[in-house]
Amino acid sequence: MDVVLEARQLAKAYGVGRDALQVLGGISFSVGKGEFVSIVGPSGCGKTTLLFALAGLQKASTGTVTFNGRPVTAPPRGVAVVFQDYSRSLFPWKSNRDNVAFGMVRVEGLSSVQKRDKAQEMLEAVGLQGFEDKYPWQLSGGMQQRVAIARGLASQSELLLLDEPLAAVDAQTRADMQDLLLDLAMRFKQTCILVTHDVEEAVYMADRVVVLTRRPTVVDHEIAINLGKQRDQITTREDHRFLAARHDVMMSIRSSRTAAPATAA
Amino acid sequence: MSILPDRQRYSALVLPVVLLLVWQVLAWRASTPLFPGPGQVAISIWRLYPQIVGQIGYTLMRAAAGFLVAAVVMIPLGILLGRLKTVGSVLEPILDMMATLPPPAVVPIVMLFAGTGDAAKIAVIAYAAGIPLIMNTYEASKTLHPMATLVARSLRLRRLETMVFIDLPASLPMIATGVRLAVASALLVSVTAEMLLATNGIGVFLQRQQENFQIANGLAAIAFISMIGLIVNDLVQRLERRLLFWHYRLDLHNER
Repeated sequence: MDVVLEARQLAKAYGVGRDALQVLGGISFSVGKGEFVSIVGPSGCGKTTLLFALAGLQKASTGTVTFNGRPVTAPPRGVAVVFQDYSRSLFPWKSNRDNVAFGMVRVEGLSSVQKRDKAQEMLEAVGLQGFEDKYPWQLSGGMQQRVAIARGLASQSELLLLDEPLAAVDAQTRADMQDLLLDLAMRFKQTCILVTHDVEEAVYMADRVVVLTRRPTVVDHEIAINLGKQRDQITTREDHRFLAARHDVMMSIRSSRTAAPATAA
Repeated sequence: MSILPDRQRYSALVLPVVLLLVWQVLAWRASTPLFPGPGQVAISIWRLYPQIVGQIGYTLMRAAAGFLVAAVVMIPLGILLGRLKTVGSVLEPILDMMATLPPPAVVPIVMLFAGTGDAAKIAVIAYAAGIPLIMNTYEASKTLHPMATLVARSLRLRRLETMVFIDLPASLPMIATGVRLAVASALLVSVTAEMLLATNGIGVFLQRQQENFQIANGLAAIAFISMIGLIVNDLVQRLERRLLFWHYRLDLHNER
C-alpha cells in the first residue's frame, strides 16, 4: 500500500530548561492510501498537538512528517483539517455556500462559477441541500460541522485530518455523523486520520487504531480493526472483534493512566 | 425614519417637548435679545436657512473627506498592527498619548505644514477621526480568536489574504464602534476647525452670529448642526445593521 503520511520520531516540548514540558516523546507511525486511522490516548497526551504537527500547523521540536514523500513544513496542498470548534472555524459573515467555496481559495484553475458549483455539490454530499444560502449560525452544531467537512472536501483534499470533530455534538447526531464521515471517506477516496478521546468511536470508524501513552507521548501499540469497510451502528458494535478491540484499547489507556508518572522519584 | 419602535419613538419626544416649553417660559420672563426662546430661534431658522444650509455643505464635505482619509489609512493600519504584535506594542503608548490630545491642539502644528485652507481642516478632521478608528481596529485585530488564524493557515492563505478576507471582516463589529465615534468626531472637529481657521462653513457662521450678539441666529445654526448629527448617526446605524447582520444574527430576509 502507498504511504500517504508518515511521522518519524515526532517530539514536541513546550518551554525550555527545567520548566519545559515534553508533550510528544518521539511518535512514529504511517498511514496508507485510503486508510482510516484513529488516534486515541489518555487525556492530555497531546493528541491535538500531534494532529497540528501532522497538518503543518505547528512545528515539532524534532522529528519529521512527510506527506506523499515530501517533508511537511507548512500546511500542504491536499490536506484538509476539520477542527473540533466548528462555530469558530466557520466564518459567520459568509453563507454556507461561500464558506465551502472558501475552502478552494487557493485552488487554482477553477473559475468562481466552478467553485460555486463545487461548493453546492459538496453541501449536497453532506446532506445540506436547501441550506446553501443560510449562514452557519442559523444551523445546529452537527449541521455546522457538516459545512466544515464539506469545506475540507471541497479543497481537493486527499487526506482529512479530523480533530475530535464530533466531541461537541449530541450522541444521536454523533452516530449519524460517524456514518456520514465513513461514507464520504469512501465516496471521495479520502485517507483519514481521526483524533478522538472516545474509544468506541475510534474503533468503530477505523481500519487501524494507534494507541498513545501518557506524556511524554509515544505510540503504545497499533491494532488493526478487521471489520471491513461497511460498518453498522448496531451490529458492528455488537461484533466480538469490535468488543475485543475496544477492550484492548481501554485496558492500555487505563494502565497508562494509573501508571506512576515517569518523572516521579 | 428612526430605527426605534413606535412607542419608544413617542416617549423619546416627551422630554425635548417639556424642555422646549420650559425654555420658552424662561425666555418670556427674561425678555431680552440675549436670551431668545425657541420661538425666536424658529424665526431665525426660517429667515436664514438657505444661508445655513449652504454653509453646512462646506462643513459636511470637509467632515466626509477627513473621515474618508482616516478610514482609508487607519483601518488597514490597525489590522496590520494587530498582526505585527511587536510593532503594535511599540506604537501602542503613542496611540494612547494621541488619544488624550484634543484635536484643536494640533491645529497650530497643522497650520505650519498645510496653512489654513481646506487641506489643513481636512488634516485636523482626519487626525481626530483616525484615533478611534485605529484604536478599535487594532484592538479587534489583536484579540482575534487564534482559530481564525489556524483555519487561514490550513487553507493556505497568504498573509495579505488572511488580513483582507478574515481579519478585516472578523474585526468589523469593533471597527463599527470606531466608525460611530469617528463620524461624530469628524462632524464636531469640522465645526471646531472652521472656528479656528475661519474661512467658510457653519462654524464660521456660528461664530459671526455670536460675535454680533445675534444669539437666536447662533442657536438656529446649532439646531441645524444637531439635526445633521442625528441624521448622520441614524444613517451610520442603519448601515451597520445592514453590513453586520451576521454579527447581530439578524435574518434580514425573514424580518421584512
